[in-house]
Amino acid sequence: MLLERDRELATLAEQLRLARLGSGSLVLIGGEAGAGKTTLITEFVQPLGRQAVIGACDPLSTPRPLSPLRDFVEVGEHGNIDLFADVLEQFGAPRQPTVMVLEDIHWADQATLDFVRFVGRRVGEHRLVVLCTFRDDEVGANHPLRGVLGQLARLRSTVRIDVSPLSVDAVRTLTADTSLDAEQLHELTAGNAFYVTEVLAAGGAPSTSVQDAVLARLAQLPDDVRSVIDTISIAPRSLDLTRALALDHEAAAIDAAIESAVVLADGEHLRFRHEIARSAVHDAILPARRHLLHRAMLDLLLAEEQPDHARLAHHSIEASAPELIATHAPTAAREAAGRGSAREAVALFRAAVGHEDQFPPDEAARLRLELGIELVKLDRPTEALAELESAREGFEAIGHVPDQIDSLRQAGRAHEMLGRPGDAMDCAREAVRLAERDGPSARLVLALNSVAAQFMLARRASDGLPFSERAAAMAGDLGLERERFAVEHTRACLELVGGDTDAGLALLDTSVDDLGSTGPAGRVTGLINLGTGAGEVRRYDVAIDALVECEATSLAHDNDAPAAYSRAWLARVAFEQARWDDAVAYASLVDATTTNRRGYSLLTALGVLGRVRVRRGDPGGVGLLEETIAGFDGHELQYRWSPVAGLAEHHWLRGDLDAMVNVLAGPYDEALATESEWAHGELGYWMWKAGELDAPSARAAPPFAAQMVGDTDRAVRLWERIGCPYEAALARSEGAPATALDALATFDALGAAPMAARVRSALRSAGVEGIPRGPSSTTRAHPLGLTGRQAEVLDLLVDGLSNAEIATRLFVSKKTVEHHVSAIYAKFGVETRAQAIAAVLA
Amino acid sequence: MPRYIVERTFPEGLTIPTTAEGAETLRGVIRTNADEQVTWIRSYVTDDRLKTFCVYDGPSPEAVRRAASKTGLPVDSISDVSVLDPYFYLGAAS
Repeated sequence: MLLERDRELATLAEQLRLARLGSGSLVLIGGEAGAGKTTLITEFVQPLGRQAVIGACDPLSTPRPLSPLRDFVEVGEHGNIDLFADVLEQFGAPRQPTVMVLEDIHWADQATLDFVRFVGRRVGEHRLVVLCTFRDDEVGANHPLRGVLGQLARLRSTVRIDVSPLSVDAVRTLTADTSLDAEQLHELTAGNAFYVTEVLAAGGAPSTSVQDAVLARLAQLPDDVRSVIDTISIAPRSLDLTRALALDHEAAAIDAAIESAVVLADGEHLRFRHEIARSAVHDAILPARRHLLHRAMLDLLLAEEQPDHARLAHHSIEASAPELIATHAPTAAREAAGRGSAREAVALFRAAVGHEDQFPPDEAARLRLELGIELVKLDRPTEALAELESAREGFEAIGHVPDQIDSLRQAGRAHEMLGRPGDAMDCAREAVRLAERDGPSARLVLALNSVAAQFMLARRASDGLPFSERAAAMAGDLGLERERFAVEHTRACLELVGGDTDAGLALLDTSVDDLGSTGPAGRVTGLINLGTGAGEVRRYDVAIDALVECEATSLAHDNDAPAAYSRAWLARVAFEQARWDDAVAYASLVDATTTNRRGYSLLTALGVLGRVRVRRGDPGGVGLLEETIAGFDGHELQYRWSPVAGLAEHHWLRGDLDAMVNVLAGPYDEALATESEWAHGELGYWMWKAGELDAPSARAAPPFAAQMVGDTDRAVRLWERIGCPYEAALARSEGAPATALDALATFDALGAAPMAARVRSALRSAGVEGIPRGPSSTTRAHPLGLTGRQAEVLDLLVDGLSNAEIATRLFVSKKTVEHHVSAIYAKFGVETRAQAIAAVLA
Repeated sequence: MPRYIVERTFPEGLTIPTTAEGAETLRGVIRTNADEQVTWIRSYVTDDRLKTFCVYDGPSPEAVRRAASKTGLPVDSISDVSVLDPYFYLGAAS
């Protein structure tokens, strides 16, 4: 009997109706354990027959990757994203199932969570309803599902259903034919549906918890029946009838267990009515016996074909059997790692490494190396370093040099994540030292490239290029194509940000294509470096092209990190081009979509927002800038110099020259140690404004240098050519009053209130007449906050035109349209065309 | 939620008629503000109607600016403020 779920069933029916019309949805069904989520789903799905497929996540601490998908599709060998796209296509087609159920996703492994997110983002345009159930009370702030829920909740195609406890009236209906007091029962069970039914099944026998109630029902059963039930609880979801018999149980005892209604027969499977019951029974088995039962299950599974390594590892761990763990955990760990389920891989590698004595020394070291690699992927560099150092020592003790080198390279990445470039460089140099012993090799090429890359991060081209050149020559001689691509990429970046900019851009162009030949992930890597590098050297057209393409490509593959970083840099470029509304839109989109609150993308975006606030005179700028600078503490200068300049600018606008110097002194010294003309230029400029510097350094970028020697006209020309209206106006304000008057017009137009006030006051003091009063009253802005051009593009987008068609219509390039489309998405806080159209029409 | 004071200048002088039309204008402002989670608390208008000081609750200065832009209202400056009430101190002392 299903009580009090009419509204939820109506919601589900409505989603099904919409899906059949092509407008699918992801329904997130939350509720405590035993609330009745499965019962609700079953009620809805049963009449649908083969139109629905069901998969369930297992209550294992280390589930097999993609296990719920395996319940209804063949997983095969191809990569996750390709698989997900195939599944979505398959289900979207006509005459195919329209409902996909994924149960208990609070137990989902990372690959499954990636699937839920992939499908959740796209389901709005497919004939599909995806129903996901989860125990919302178990999904705390740090639970892996939390981030996915947050990202999906923003979408219009996501629907939320909460399965709440039963009311007293519902309990009264259930107790109608009994002598039980409905209010008391409701109070005892807090309206939990499963608990209520357990108490009723036990005839109202007293219990203090649902586990108690479950165990009480077992107390009266004979030993052999009890034994069957215990065995069934060992299997995570259900136990095959044939397996139950093979585990030495009499058919009669099995039948009696089913009779008792503690377990039920679901086709050829035996299972408990609810996971709560299974885990209550499992946990009540005394430890020694539990270990034996898990062992027996393990032996049985091993005799079968098609091993599920995660399951074998699970039983080995539950059986506390070191040699079994050593046999099964590594394989399961590697399978999880291969599918991107890093959390599960870490748990399994840890289980294996906990019994190190079971392995020969090289395997023990290798397990630690692989564990370290997974920890780096999970952004846990401190733990990773501990494992990687152990691995390196282990390999060193047995003289395995190549593996030592691999450990050092991974350790370098971890140091870089921790903001310890000095340590990262040490690892890179040590790797080279070791690799050189054996002469030219792929490993030596990559080790040399790591050193070059460290110099690139430090913006020291003349130190890094010799390493790049040596590595490139070696890769060429050895015919190592992939390694050569990596080396050429580093070299291109070195030139771009610390050497010859034009040469760097040309090399990067080729490099992006080369890296792209290895697959989309390679192209994305190339684009993100081209985009951010070009942005850093103020080549905005190139930067925007690369960043917009990177954003789109990453999103198409659900690769969130580069998409977020692209947006953060699109914000930065927009800020420098004085398109402050666009900058704010991109920064806000990063804030809304990123799950890593301490990562590079969010810090960069917030730094940009801080600089916009300073220039507008809005509150809250300083806090953001200080947060960004602190967040990037220890990291290379390029992550910090813009927010540092912003903070200096803030102090300058308030006339606090001492505070400026405090902020600038350290970073300026760092800048002088680099070969970046823009670091020399921007930080040097503010040092000059503070009165601390008389002349620009030899390396300072031309427009800044021109300002510092008083060549206003040249500075203005250069800034206008580069495309920085605010900087051009700043330069004008440093010139003669007539030029300063032009600056005022710019500052008023941009809404740069502090500078406008400053220039006004200076002009008044200089006795200039005819100073314009202030910004003219605002012409009514576009109702959706877009610029004129963006509004034109949006109208055509809503009419259903493709980017190419819009470009033709407006007589602009397709790339220009893509830029505007990207900015439009940012302003609406959406990520796809369909979402943008939905947002407009709402 | 932070509280902001927005200073505005209306070079032609601010006029909102006390008619149904005027009321509809104000309602429109409130609706548009709501889209940005911005709440208009109250405004203080100078006698010559050239300047206003408007009190808002909102999530960020950018939200206040977006709301202002959509409703066609000028923004001279935005300040983050908190309330200082003389009676709070007097009450605490006695």
